[in-house]
Amino acid sequence: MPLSAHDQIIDAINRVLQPAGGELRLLARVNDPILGNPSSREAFLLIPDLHILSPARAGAFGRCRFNFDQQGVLASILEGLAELREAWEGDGAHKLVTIQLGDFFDLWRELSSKSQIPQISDDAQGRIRDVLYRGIHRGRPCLRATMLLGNHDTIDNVSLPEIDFRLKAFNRAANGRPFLFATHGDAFDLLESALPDWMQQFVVHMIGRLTPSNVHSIAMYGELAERTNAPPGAMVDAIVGAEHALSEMTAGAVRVTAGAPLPNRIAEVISDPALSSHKYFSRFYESVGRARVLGLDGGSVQVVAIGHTHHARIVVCTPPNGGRSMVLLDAGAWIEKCRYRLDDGTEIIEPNAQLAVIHGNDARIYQVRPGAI
Amino acid sequence: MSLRILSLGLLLAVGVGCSSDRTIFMGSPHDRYDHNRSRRLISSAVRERQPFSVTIPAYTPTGSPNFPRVEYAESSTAADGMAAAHLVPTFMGVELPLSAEDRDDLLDYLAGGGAVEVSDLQGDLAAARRAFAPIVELLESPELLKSDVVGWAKKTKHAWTRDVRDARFDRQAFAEVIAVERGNFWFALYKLPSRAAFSRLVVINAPRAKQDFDEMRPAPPEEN
Repeated sequence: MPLSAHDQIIDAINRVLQPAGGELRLLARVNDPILGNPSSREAFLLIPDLHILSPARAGAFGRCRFNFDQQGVLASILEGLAELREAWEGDGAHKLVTIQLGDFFDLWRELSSKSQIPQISDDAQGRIRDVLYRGIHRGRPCLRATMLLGNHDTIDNVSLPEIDFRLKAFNRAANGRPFLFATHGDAFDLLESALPDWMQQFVVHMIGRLTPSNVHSIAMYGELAERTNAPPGAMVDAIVGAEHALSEMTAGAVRVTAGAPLPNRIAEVISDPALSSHKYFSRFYESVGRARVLGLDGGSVQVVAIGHTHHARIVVCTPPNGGRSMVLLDAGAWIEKCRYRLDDGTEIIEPNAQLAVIHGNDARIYQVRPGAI
Repeated sequence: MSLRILSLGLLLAVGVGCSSDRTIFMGSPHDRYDHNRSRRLISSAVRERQPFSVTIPAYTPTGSPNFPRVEYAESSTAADGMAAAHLVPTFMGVELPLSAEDRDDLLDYLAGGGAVEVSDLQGDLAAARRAFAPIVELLESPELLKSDVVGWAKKTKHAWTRDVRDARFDRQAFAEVIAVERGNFWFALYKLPSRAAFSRLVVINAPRAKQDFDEMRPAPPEEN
């Protein structure tokens, strides 16, 4: 029996991890028609905040560690997935759609002004840049990721010129009604800091209104980010010190291998958006509702995928009496730490290293545990 | 009296779409929308006459297997492995008036923010349909395309310019070229010699600018 799309992705990841004693663990999962995805063709790979730095700059942060930078694990995993994408393009059964959810190259920590952008050398984090978006220009394996703008992706209102950033993206829906909306997740922080009618502005600029998606707004969001980001000097300890306690759940984080059954693992199941402990859940919920009233593409969204919080979790809202449901997939990060329990009860505190995948109505967040690589 | 006339003149100048003294430079194929990306192509120049799409690799140093390499007749392969040239298409622009299929691909391009490569994900199509409705009406209308487009631009308050520096052809190849701005895109319309109507469209992504919150639209780029 052929492997499912999820299992082929798991296989590709484990081919990198297992030979060196590493493993994949399931942090979160919802497998339910509530996701509202009618298609089984696309598999969505969601890469959360990476906050990568050039090696020279990372050294300046002393004891701070950028997990994948040390081990090259993420680059290796993504290169394997780029090969899978190419194989799928050949047989046409599936399509691997990759979204990097923002805060990719941390210009905020890397540089002190936009004039220094040319100092980022071509080979600084070259493997990651190639496999995500640059490789297509260089004849190298490439995921052709959609790169979403995060608050650390600009300096002096300017982003890395080589990246075609977007503020948001929807899945391509044959029925014209996207189920998935992806954005970095900082929009409310930025807009609320600057605008009295921030909810309406979010609907205008993110879910959509009369202006095009993101042609104009890189500079605007960069400017707002500068007002809200913590100063660089205050962020050193945040890299190693911040620890996110992932929600306690009945089932611990099981090891993930292709073909093995997996449980649902949801941080919150709520009946009212106001009940969520996630800072942004109710705001996204409300904005989808407003988009529905305005007849915009965001009105059909069932799944909102974000990064930004560095705290991986899935929140499901199912109001009673057929009320509008919504799933928030907060994909985590590759910076800061997480604390969770394995299925044998062992408590783990380790660097965040999350990847999320959605295929059909099955959404998952994995923790990558590199082992001895 | 003269002051009143001057004030009225200024008011009129502000109130209608004004000719911009902008020069629109058409950049590389990466920076312009000049064909319906969803339609497959076929050409005797391409190996095996298989339908193909033009994607980014066609315009990279390593080229694309869809398109032939060109080598010098006498010399051997260069030290860096690059060909002397690749044969790649220069598109004529999208045919006008827009067909429904061409309109849909154009809106997809506009909704996606102006990236020429067809993205795996989409922008907000519903918002784009509304945002660009006036310009789409022009592009779909045989009557408007035969009419005074500058007059239309003024009446509908769109910035316009005749100064389009085309990367593909000499300006003299065309009887008339007008670009109309909407939503931070320039829509360049081309009229071939001895034709009554504009019959080709190329869209150029205007420089990204700050947001004008009050107007809820991009602010014009600052003049240098």
